[in-house]
Amino acid sequence: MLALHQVKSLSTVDIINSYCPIKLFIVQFLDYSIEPSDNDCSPTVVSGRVRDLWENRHPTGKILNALDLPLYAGDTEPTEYGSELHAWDVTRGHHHIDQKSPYPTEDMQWALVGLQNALTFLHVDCEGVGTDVTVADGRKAWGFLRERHNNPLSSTNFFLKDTFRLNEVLPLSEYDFEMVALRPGDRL
Amino acid sequence: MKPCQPHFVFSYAHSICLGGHYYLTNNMQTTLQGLIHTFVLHNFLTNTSHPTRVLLRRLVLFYHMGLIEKEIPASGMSFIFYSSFNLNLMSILDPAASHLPEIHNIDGLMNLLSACVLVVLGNVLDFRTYRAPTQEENQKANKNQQILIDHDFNTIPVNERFAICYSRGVALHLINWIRRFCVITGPGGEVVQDLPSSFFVQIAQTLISYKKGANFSQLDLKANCKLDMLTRQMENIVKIDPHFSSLWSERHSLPSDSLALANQNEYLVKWQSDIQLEWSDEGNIHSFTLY
Repeated sequence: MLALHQVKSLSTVDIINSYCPIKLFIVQFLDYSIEPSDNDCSPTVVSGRVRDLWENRHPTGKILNALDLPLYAGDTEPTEYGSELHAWDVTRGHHHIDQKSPYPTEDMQWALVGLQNALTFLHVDCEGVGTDVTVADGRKAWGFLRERHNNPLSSTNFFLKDTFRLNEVLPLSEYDFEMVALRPGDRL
Repeated sequence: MKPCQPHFVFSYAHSICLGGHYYLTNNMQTTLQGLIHTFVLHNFLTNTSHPTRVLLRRLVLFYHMGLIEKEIPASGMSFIFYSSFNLNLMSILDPAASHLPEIHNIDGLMNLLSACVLVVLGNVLDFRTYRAPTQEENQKANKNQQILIDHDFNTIPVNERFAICYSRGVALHLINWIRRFCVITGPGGEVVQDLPSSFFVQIAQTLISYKKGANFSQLDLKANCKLDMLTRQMENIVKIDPHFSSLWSERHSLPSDSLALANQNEYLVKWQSDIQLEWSDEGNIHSFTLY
């Protein structure tokens, strides 16, 4: 059986869907083909199976985006950049911590599968985490908000101001954007 | 991508990405900011939820082990071994040591303090604190559920509540260590008496005023955590430390709209000789198992 992290392209999804239990996974999608009510920036959440992504890949299909597909088989060896992995390793068996307590891999390593035109509006990743992303197949554009000196992100007024919007930039908005286009193999 | 980075993502072709989250010691100040922004503006500002607080707790235990218990060889541990003909000197540097905060500059010290503040506020910043055991997220509590919540019966499992308490104690031990051995000079050249307490109280009251602002802007209508519940939790937590408690009554002299230390680059940090190396009292350790 192939693990999800071995899925490298949509064609691979199609092939393994024919015999792999991955097709049985029930996951949540954001469906951008359903127009949100009242200009809400939250897309509609629907449930489906991984194979639904493949079946909607045609131009008139739904615009689905699957976030947080867990990579249980991911590599959890300490890396040079992840402090929490070193902390996890060093503290095992100390301070009354169970030596065998499992690292929360399913929350820290995941896959994103999005169909063309899927869009997540401006947001901040939860829990104060940093994020790394590698494009395995397809194309993604990442838009970064850049703060200005007189309007720092550390201010609690930043997101409460009338000039802040999740889905548009107003003439009086006090921040800028930088776009990065990611191709297969690119890592953010 | 660093913590607290607002971003949008557009798939201009069908795509598969492999990704991960991580915490970086050097980013702990922005971790604090990002966590508080997404706690207060939850559904408005963030699109997913991952229960990763256990990692922040483990990081603070790790800092304690490295900085106070000296369990991690930070400057290279030398030892001698004999081969057939040669005497060799080997130096081992645990790669984990590079993930300890650089406490000899204000940026590193604030990273350590930020992690400690987050762990001290472990219950306060946890949505489960504000839900009864049978209450669904974003659902209003019924009468019975409200009674449970009023008596602090919530959705955090008992063993995790113990883990939160224990880690809070370790974080406070680190804070006391800073108070005892670290001399901090402020922007005007004056010695800052208790930066850990003033930073904690600044964050605590900023959190409450931020919640008020979110209420006013109607951005947190569905949240189980209401302003009065948050205030009650905060008033409880400041009582755990006499320095926090006494400064809480004078909090109005501190900023209430910022999650960062003002003019931070103008602070200087100096440690009192090497005496801190000898301070390894672990306090009372109880015999239960954390996970």
